[in-house]
Amino acid sequence: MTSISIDMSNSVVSNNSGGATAEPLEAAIRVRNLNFFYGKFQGLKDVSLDIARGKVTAFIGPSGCGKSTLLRTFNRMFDLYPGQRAEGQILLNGNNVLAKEQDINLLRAKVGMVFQKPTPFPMTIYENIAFGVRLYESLGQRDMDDRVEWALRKAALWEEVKSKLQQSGLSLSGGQQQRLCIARTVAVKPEVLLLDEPTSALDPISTTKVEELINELKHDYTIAIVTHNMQQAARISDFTAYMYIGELVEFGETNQIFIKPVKQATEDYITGRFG
Amino acid sequence: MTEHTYRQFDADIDSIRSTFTTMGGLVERQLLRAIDAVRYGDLRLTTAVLVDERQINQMQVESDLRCNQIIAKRQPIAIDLREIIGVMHGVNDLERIGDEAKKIALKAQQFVDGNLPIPFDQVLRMAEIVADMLRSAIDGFLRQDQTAAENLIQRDVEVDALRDELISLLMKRMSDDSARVSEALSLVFVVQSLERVGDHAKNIAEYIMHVVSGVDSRHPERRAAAGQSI
Repeated sequence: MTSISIDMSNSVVSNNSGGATAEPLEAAIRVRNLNFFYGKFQGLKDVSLDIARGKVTAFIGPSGCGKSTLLRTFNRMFDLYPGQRAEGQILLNGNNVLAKEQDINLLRAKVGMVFQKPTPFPMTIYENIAFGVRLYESLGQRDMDDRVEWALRKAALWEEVKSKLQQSGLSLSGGQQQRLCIARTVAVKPEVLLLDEPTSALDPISTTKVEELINELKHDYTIAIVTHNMQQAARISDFTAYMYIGELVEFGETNQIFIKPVKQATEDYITGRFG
Repeated sequence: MTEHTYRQFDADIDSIRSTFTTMGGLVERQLLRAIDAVRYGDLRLTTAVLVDERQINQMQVESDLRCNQIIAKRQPIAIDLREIIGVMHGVNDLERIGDEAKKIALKAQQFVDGNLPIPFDQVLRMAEIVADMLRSAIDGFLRQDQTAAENLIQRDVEVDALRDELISLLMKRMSDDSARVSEALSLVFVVQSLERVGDHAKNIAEYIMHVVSGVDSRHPERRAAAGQSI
């Protein structure tokens, strides 16, 4: 078992120009002694870590190591599948999201998710955004229009779609669809965004646009991202967690993980000496 | 260290290590020839040093190109990135050592008639020390030997002391015999070049430490902050 908590009050995080600033950090999500089971198979083993508020935390590791499993515990996506269960604590604002009394719908409004394959609804661009908002809020037409525009602007998509809001979301390119999904997620004003390999199905230019968007969004949201792209993790994240066979091997500031990781296993993986 | 999954990556790294080693050997030979050129006033050795210098410069260009290609293609990180950067820095230092050897070799013109102003044994000793430092630096880099690097950094203190001693001796020679000022001054420049060779070998030692530990210990205050006694 590896249990790692960064002392958020004294963490040093690099700023965009490569310098370092000492800033107090707060944990948006605290994971404590999390174990996860697919039936009898244990997918996560006693994982503990803190996800810093307003930062991007990347999860890397070989296929099957538990990255996506961990991500999907944060919004209890596993509830959809019988036989899957989690034990331990995942504290969001001090409340354990794994508790039986947790309102799942409310949780999923606070903790939004974007998947690898863009999944726009078979609706207009406008309705793709409005649909989710209506589940949680009663907004008048003007307020809804404002919310849709706000969300699309947040996703850096407004200028590209403002003249065709009534067109189907499926008519957009792959990169645009993914940004539409991000807009849909932020429209309900979550606290946390979970991104599960959000750019692995996109071309390089679309990938760059989504990465740039993530860089902007982190000012307002806490972001956890699973990625197989080591360079992407290095580019966009503030913290990186390396996982292997359900265990958290190492967790630290991205600058440190990618320059001089503590564990040899981490260095072997990130330098391509793995396997 | 285990091999990369991409075997070609290992081959790429090996190729720049090989260039680094070959260049190091060439530069060491160049340095020793340059010292012998001065000692014996042998201009054939001076010519040989100048020929070597062209090859060294070419190797520096090729090494940098190779490193750039590896960075572009492989996006190295962690220890791989540190090693490639270490090679790029180290090759620069080797090229500068080559420049110092050339400067020394050109001074041989002054001693064709064998009229050295002071006994040469101490200069020779200084040259042997810095040549040994250079060999240790190259070898230490390839083996990523932090202990060897620390020892090497300490030896630079000895070289600095020798330089001070020799320059003091040469200054006295100049004041005692004004007819020998030109030869003595030439030897001052030779001694200073040797001291710079020692500095470049020390630089390579500092790169070794960065490759191994990830700590930049290029300056005494940074070494102190990193808890290193050197």
